[in-house]
Amino acid sequence: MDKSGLRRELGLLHATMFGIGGAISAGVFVMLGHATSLAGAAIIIVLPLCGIINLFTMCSYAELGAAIPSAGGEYTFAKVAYGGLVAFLTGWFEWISNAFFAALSSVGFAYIVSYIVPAINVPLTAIIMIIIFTVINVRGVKEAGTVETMMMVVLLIILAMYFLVGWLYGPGTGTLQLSAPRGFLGVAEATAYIFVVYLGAEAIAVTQAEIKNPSKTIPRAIILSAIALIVVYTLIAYVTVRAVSPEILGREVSPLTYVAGQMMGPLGTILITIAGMIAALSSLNTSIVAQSRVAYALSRDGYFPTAFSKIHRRFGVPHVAVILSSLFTIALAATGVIQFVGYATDFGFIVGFTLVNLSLMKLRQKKPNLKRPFKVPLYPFTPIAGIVTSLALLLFIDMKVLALGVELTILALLAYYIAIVGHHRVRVAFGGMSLGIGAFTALVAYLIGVGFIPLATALPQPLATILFYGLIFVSVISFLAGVLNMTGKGQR
Amino acid sequence: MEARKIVSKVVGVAQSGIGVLAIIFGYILYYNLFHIQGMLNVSAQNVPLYILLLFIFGLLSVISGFFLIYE
Repeated sequence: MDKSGLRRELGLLHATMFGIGGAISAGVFVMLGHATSLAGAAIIIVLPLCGIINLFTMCSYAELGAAIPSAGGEYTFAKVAYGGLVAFLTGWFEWISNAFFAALSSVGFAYIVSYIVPAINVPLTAIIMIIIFTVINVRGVKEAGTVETMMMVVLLIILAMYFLVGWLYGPGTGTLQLSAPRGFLGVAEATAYIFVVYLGAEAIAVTQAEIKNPSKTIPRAIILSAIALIVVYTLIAYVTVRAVSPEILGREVSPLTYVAGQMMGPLGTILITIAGMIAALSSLNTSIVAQSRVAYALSRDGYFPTAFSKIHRRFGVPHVAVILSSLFTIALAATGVIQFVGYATDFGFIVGFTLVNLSLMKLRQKKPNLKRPFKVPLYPFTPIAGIVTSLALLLFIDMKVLALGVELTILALLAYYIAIVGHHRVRVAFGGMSLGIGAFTALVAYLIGVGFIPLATALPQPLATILFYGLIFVSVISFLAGVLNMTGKGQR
Repeated sequence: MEARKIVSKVVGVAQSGIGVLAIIFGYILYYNLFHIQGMLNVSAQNVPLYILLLFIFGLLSVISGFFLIYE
């Protein structure tokens, strides 16, 4: 058991599967089409290229994870390297991007199910899946790891079948000449667009406090999962482009399902649909693990409420962090707005990549004698390449992502200020806001009472009466809450 | 002091409850469950504004209520 109370129960297999499962989401099943329309058959080069870019940063994760195997992943690395605001921002983006990714995965799963059963309610299905995986995660990290491994084995078997059937018996109508119809720019755009399919593998670093023999297992699991992703994605792209021309792929909503249908008939369509569902659920599972461990680490250091760092005596997991983080994910998934959630996820992960590489370079200077069981090869080229490529991705990213990123940063700064300013002053501030709400609702109730706001003409009489008394009740409670919060004793 | 604690807890629970109800009401309004938009004469154009206000009010109430509950 780790001194934090978390149990080291994940072996190399579980950790590697967390890495692969964290990255292979339902996204790859739909994104390949548009990426192929940008890069043409050169998508076969684009995917390993993205994998190599990913590998640069994964090497940094491997070095830092083996050297500092405490819960929290990127946040813990940034805390040791920089501390203060930089560490908090890293943890914040890591937590929020995993929460958004969990919501994205659950909504993605529900959408895939809705293709088969159109009558289902998408947000409700997403919420049910979050609840199921929250229960699994509360039962223990080993249980979550076992479920993840089982899902990944099934998924990899289906993808292996897809590759083998496509390679041995698939139609060869498509071209295998490495042409890029839109030239270098098209290849660069496709690289920026499809890179997100590699994001999520860093979940291994977040669970590092629960990995057995961390100095050896963490680097091995990170590098293994990064290489496995390159192989899996490249082979899938190879048989897909070989079977169907890039022009047709670009028009398909779900290109893999289309190609599987062409190669294996209805069985192929069913198998790839099941694979899409499993991929979405494995990402959901990994994201729940990751976000709860980051919330736990932020709480351990006083940035989040202390309840988040409670460890369950029997199961050895931060159960409160798992449940509260999942509630936040449920609120996001309930909106069903998949596009917004996707934007937030991409921004958070890319910022996290940059900060991890910066942390590695800072620690090499600040703590040269730190015991490093694994060292990044070709230093400082590798982390610099990781930083440059991560920032380059931001250049090609949608402007909406950048706008959302600025908003999330402002929210983070606000949260950081609240965390460091002290409990008592925050409480007084909330007391003041409650008084303001109380005064406002009292004014609205008064205006309704004197007939200045003609509510009775707009609403049925019983509803107008309920609303009037409801406002008076809210006003009284808000006033009382304001006075009690402003006069209460706090932890200064 | 005991009386103050009890009052704080009661007011905290009530305020958090109001906040949670406001957020749930926001979802009901957003998805137009029970045809609530028509019932309250809310035009679809103004729905995002109402939701934003309800969410801000709801979150403030929940956090303020929690401060009182865990006083």
